[in-house]
Amino acid sequence: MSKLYEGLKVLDLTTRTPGPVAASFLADYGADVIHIEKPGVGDNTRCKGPILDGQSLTCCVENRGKKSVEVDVFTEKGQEVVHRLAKDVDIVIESFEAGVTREIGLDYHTLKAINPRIIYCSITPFGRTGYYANRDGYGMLGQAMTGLPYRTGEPDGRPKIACNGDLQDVSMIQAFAALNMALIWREQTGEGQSVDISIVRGISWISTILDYSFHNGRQSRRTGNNVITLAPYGLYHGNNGESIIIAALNEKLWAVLCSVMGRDDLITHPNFSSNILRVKNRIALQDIIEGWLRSLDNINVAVDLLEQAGVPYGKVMSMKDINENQHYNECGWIADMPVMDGITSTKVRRFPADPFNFSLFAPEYHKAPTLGEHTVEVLKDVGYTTEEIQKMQTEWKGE
Amino acid sequence: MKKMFEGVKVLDVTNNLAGPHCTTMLADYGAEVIHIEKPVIGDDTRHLPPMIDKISFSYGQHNRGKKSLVLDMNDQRAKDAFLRLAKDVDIIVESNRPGVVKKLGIDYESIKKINPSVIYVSVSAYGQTGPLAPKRGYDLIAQAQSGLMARTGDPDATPYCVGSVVGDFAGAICGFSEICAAFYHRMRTGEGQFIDVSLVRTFMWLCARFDYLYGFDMLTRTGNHHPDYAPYGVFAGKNDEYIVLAVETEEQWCDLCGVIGNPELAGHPLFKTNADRVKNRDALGVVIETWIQTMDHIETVEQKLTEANVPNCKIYSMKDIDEDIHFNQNGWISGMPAWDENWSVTSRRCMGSPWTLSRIVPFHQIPPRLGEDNHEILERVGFTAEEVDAMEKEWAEHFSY
Repeated sequence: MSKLYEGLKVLDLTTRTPGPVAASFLADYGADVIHIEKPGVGDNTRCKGPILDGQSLTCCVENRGKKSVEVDVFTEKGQEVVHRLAKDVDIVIESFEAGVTREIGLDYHTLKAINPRIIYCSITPFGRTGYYANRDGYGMLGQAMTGLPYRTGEPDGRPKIACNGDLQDVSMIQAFAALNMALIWREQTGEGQSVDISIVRGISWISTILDYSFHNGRQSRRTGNNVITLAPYGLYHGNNGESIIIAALNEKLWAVLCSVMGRDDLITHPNFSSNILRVKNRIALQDIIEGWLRSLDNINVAVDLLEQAGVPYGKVMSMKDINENQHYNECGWIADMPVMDGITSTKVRRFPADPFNFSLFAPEYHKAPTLGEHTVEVLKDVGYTTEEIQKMQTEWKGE
Repeated sequence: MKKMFEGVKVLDVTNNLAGPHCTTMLADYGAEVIHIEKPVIGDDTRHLPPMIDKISFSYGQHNRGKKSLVLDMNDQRAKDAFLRLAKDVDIIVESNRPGVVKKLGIDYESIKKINPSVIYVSVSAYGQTGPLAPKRGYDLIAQAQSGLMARTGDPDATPYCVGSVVGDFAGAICGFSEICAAFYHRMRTGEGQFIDVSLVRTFMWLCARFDYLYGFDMLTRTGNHHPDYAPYGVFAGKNDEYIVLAVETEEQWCDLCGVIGNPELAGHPLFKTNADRVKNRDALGVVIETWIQTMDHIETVEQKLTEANVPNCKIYSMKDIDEDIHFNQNGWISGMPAWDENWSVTSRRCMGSPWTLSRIVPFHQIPPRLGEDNHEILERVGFTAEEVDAMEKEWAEHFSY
């Protein structure tokens, strides 16, 4: 099988999650990725939990398949190292705080002068320009501004943070798209360019609808666990804190659901015989469905009955449910990747495989490097002697 | 200005949201996208509100810049037309239920024989293979099955779905990224390929983590507050407005106590260390919200916290996003052009593209009316004007709302 990015060279200057993921996508498909890390300390993902045997499992995933090179980019010598490397790379990815790259001479314009074909990608909470360019917006903080919490929760209750404040990784798919666009463009014109990815923008892009001015000023708001125009379509609770989405979206499915519940009398019941009536009597309907679910030992009994009858449903799947799901496993949606050296309790970490499915390429997951594993090899390639390398490392690590 | 996909031809046999949105981005960058729609009814989103002058905004958002070709794919003439067009296109994107294109004879294997370098993309809920493949996808079901709901809501309380159709957009962007990667490969090697996009998979990738396997707690929902820091979470103001505070350091905690006007609070036995504050989070919440609610507007709170260097973000409504200075300055929101000069709206505000590239800019153009391009496209592949008229007439009689 051919490798999509065979021969492509990437310089990864990112320092905190989710930035490193963009370059690991490229590494999975064959790119040669050099990750520049802070001497002695490494990129921030190295201390990000969960920590197993003293090593970060987050780092295992986010830095898979890369080479680790310790360079202090805040020194002139370190900047010289990056400049030498930049001469020969195709892509640079960085996630420094605002203004830093210019101060240390690693901004797009400086690197472009060294290598005009370079593709330079920034990954930050709010992007490289504009009013909030200096603002912190990782995690929950940034998600607040994406419109997603505003539309999550009960109509008369508080907005809810989604997915524990994660979902930042969606911007990594967007970075992957934008990097490929830049590669296409370079193939067509020979020109490099800069790519500006904002995490907040990325989440907002999947969750914001701005049509309120055309709904008499009514904004799309949170509607709890129901779709307000259809019933039954929403979340229903059973025993043991388990719950299930049921979607009986037409009259035929409604009749089938009634039969499954042993309530054929409801099919033509004056309160429930049409979608309009069911929406109107939503709460009574919810009581009926939940009464039925609670009469069952557990939610899996309902799953089996609904499956046999052909009523669309979706159990609220826990991480364990997902991990053990037959479809997800058969289709290769979940993979094991080798962990970093130093982890002894397990050989692999299970994780959701790259969300891509090409007929020509399969991703290969290689272990993340230990800190500085490739310093000597990579720096020798750009002309440093063993003595020079040792001297720099000693200076940077304050040994 | 040069367009990245200038000259690239796309056949778009998608319906609803994810598939059409994926191909509309190809149109933004210059591709000729031919959207194939059912007779009379067209794409389902043509009937989705909001409607302006009886025309759907949703359709416009997901089909801007395309051409519309009406084909009744159950008619042999339509299949012929499709195959003639398919011979000469670069990319085909379809979002039928798995198995349908094979039955129609327009699946990848069939098309590859007449166009070996085609990039063929199938967009579906669960992908083309595996036991769930034949199932219909609904947004809420996808949210339940991706782990998103398990991780949204208060601990020990009900899970929540999110109020946006996030799965379709995430799938659309994932498909677009794969098309770009495959296109890059084709430029260099001439090889086409098949791409299998699943909306559930994309969202599962975002949400699922399995570290319970290595002795860690199983990831579940932690609600509106950070499990390890306090105060770090959502706090309520007056008038149904909310704000996130994110205090991670002692310095920020002291700054917060200062701005509240209660510096002694920093040393209070209930709140002295982060561990104390996590333990007494509810009591702390009352103190903070009492202060916040002394102010009428959350903007005042925002301003005070920002001046005191306490990290914060207001929970933005759709209107806040629409009017935000940064979002607008940076071009995150675009005005999509109106349908035509007679439309009562001149443009529609939308999230534009999710990136800024220095050399490649999107061009948002008007969406097509149903079947607007029938003659041009069908005559291009050998149908006569009379034949096109005859098909249009016949199909219109067979279909109704």
